Amino acid sequence: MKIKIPNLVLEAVVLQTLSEEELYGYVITKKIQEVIPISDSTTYPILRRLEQKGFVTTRSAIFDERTRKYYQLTKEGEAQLADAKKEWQTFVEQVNGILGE
Amino acid sequence: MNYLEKLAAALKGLPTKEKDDILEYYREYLEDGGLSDAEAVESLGTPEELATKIKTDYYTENGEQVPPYGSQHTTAYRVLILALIIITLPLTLPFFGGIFFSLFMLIFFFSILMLLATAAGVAFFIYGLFTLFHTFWSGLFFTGLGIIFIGLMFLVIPGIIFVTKKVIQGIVALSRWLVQLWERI
Repeated sequence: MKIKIPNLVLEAVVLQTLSEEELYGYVITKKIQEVIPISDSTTYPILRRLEQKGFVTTRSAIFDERTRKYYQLTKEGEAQLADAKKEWQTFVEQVNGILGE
Repeated sequence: MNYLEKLAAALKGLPTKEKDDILEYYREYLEDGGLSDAEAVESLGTPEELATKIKTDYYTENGEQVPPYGSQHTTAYRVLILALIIITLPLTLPFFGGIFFSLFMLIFFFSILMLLATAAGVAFFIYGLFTLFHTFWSGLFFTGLGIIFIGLMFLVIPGIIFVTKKVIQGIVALSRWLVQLWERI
């Protein structure tokens, strides 16, 4: 894909994967990759930013005798996701208005 | 070194907390994906490439440029520090120079003193030996004095060598510390 995905959209994509259940880094990456070709190293910086902005929180759980960090959507994260979806809709409609469908 | 160890080495310069978070994340990532080191390179790139990517992201996000050699500060900051060092040099140089100069002078002075004492000791001893045959008691006195001086030398010279070594070690340690301090800026 030649188009560089804006951070706002990538962040929203990650938030969307967390909208139903808490997940850990590897699964978040794989879930997104099922649809969008992102590199494996894309997710960490996004998760970090989302956590800094308070859109996700984390908890460490023991799994198979080792720790695993799970990410959860916060109320602020949900609001942000809704916002980003609207922004994206508008953007798509505008671009489609010129480039057609 | 395995993938994570190499990554840790390549992340040098990032704040410790940040580095720990990153390493923890990728440790879990490799475990969850069941990735070997070779597969990790295929997935994430070499540890160095991944580290460069992470650092670029970290520093651009924090509104800084990516510094070379893993330093936490910008070039401008380093230049500023260098300027400060140079400006204060007229003050710091005589201070440290004075301390080292005094120490070396002290060592030098004691060495000369010891040399003279040794010479005097030997001279007394020989003089005493000769006098022994004319005036026995004064000959004995000078021989004894000479032996005391030479004995004193054997006691004091290791002390001087010890102090000299310590001073040189101190200077080396101080220089090393300063270099490390500079690298951390």
